[in-house]
Amino acid sequence: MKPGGRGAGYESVGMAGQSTGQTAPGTNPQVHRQQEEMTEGWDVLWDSPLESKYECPICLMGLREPVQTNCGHRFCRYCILKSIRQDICPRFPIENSLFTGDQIFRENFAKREIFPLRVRFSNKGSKEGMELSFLETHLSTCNFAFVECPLECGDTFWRKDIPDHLKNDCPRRLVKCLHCFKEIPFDHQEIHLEECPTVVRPCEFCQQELTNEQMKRHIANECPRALVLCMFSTVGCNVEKMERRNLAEHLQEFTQVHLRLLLNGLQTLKDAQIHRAGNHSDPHSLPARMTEVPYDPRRHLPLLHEQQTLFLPPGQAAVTTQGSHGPFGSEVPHAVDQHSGGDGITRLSHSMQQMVMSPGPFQPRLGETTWTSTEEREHYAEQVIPVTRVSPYPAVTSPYTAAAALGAHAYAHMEGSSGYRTDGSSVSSPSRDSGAPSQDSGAPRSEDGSMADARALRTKVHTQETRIVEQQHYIRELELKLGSLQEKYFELEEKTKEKMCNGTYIWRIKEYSKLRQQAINGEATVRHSLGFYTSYYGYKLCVRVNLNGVDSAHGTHISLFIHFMMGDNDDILEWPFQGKITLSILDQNSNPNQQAKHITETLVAKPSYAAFQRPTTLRNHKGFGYMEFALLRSLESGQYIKNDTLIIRCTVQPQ
Amino acid sequence: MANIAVARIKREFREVVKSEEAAKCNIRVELIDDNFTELRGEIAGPPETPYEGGKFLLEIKIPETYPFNPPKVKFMTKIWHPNISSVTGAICLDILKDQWAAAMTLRTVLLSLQALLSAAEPDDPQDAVVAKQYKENRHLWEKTARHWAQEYAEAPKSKKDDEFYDKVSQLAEMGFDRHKALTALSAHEWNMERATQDLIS
Repeated sequence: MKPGGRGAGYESVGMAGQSTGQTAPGTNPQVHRQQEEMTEGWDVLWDSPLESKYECPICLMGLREPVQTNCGHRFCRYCILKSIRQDICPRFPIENSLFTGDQIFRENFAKREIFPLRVRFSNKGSKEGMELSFLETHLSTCNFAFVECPLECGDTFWRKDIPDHLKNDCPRRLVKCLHCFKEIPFDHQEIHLEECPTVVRPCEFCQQELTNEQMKRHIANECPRALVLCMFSTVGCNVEKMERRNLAEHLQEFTQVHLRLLLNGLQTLKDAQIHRAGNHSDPHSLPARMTEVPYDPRRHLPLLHEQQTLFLPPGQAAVTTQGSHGPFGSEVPHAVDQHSGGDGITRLSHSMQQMVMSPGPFQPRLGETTWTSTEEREHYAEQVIPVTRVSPYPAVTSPYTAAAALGAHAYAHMEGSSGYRTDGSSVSSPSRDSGAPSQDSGAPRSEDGSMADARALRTKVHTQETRIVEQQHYIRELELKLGSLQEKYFELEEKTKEKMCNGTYIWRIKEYSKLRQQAINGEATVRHSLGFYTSYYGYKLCVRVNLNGVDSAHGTHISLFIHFMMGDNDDILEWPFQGKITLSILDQNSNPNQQAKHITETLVAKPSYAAFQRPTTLRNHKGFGYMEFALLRSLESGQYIKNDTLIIRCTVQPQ
Repeated sequence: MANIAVARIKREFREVVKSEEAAKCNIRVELIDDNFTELRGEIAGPPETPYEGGKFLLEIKIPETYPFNPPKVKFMTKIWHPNISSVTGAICLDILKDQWAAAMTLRTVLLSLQALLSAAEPDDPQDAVVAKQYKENRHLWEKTARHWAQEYAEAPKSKKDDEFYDKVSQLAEMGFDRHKALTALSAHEWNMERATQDLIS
């Protein structure tokens, strides 16, 4: 992809890059290699004072890799290139005339003249005199040459001190872990202790001592004090995380809420189904329709199973297996197993219906007090036990609680009937609908009494359902309102963030290697940061990066530009923009003893460039910056990318 | 500060100290801090100008991007000159702005400033009041500039300027700040009434 417009800045910088390429065709790879090693002139002690003709007018040192310009002046290659790079419209450093491209030549004549000059290496420890040409060779062996630590800890030492440093000080030297005997870098010890599989630590929640290896599983599945989210959060239960041992209690307390949420979810599903299916024959036959919903039940069903282990703390497990605990403890999985032959969604809707129909052991009747004592519960259970015995469903035959059983019984009727009708007809004649088994196999019971009971219960359930539906509508309205408020809030927050940065924007490019690969593959060669303002009422800009370079810097350098964007204050600001822009790639080496080596370039806005005019599009097409901001290779050497994140800082100071 | 900037300033510093001009006491630099980020410069007022005999101190700040960006220079000694702000000492000189070139040095900057003192450019002014006076009443401008040099830059005094001293002293006796009084008088062609008016408002 071509970059979003020819930024004036990189246009000129690119020119410099191209011109060197053109003067020495075929040596391009070498040029790049040299650039990496290049610095300003020779900073050495000359035996006799250096003649000014061998002095670079920019760095005022001995010419290194001398080049000559059209106007007949000599510079170090590094210095003139840097000079051109720094300036937006490059000029010759001496005559100040505009630099227009292919006007730099290698000055091998001067190079040949400089090399035989006698010099003394300016480091303290070295006293040998030699020809300049031998200096490089000498530097590669001299004990007093400064050498970077081979483990790339970032420090520099005299060559003779390197072995000692590697043995005793280097933060990157390898040491053995006392626990697992693996070799790890010295400065990773603390991090390693966190990860080392054999180290025993107390669990952060329950203080139980476990090895790191066991810890993960412990926290994920076992720890009674670990914070977990209510499993109904997937359908909208927004209670905060709680300790695992409190989950069961929460589930009890919030049964009604959860049911409502489930029903709500079901309703939404139903609506979606109606919407998709168009004019279906019977909009009321819910189970039949549910089977057609193109919906992946695996997303929800495993969850129900998981809950079994998740929310049962060891202490209550026994109670649960007796079946006196909560509608989910064992009923749901039972019900699910029962219908395992059917479609997933049918199963889900069944279990949900079962739950909705059953008022549950916790709130047997709407408006009445919940169970307060075991006697009461037993009393109620005795009353209705006959009904539970006759039910053909295993879920019901296990003596959970009477009310649950009754609910399930009612459900049995629904199952048997042709459809789920909320009008009175199916409710009024449940026994006929459900067919013989429940009655024929029946143990003795007072049919009239229980029928009346059941009827009353059903009416209540019906009213309850109506109310739930009403409330659902209300909740949905509130949710909508909340949603729009949230949106507004995020918008405001975004705005404040971009306005409050005061001209210094930090851009963390996460997943650098992935993005870089995308840049290499050509999927996304260019990335833009979010917009930011130089001050609350200032200019709006964004940073643009080509992770694999652009044009002539393609594949070798990272390219960095700024683009002006349409901002809120453009009408009151002065255009074109004038001021200073500093672009940096931050050194993330955390070693405190060592100064961070950020890669920084500062540029001054040139009012004549399109990049600095008032934007007429959302983002100015013309950007401004550096095509060859930094060598990609030097970036990847480590200190600039940590945790796969590259940090770019852009400081904009208007005049 | 970037390596190249420090290395450069060290060398330039030596260059100035060793230069012919320094030997003739025309220019001078001294260090303010060890980092070579700030220097103090001094230039002598050029002969045959109102500044003759004066010593003008300069504040020189070296940016991190030196020598690719110009040093920031301003006058610390107050001066009456069309291209230098009489209030802040800011200088309007092309080579300190867009005409800067990396091959320029502290020495060339100081010499250029000296040249600016000899040859003002009223059409590209920094201080509009001074520039107007320069163009409209050159004689008065010269006298004022000389008076400022005597007042602030230790230029030798001559008798014929006594008139200005009296006026400043009169205002000072009235309770006005001496420098403010001088500025007001200079800006109002040494008219006492208008200067007083200006000082009161």
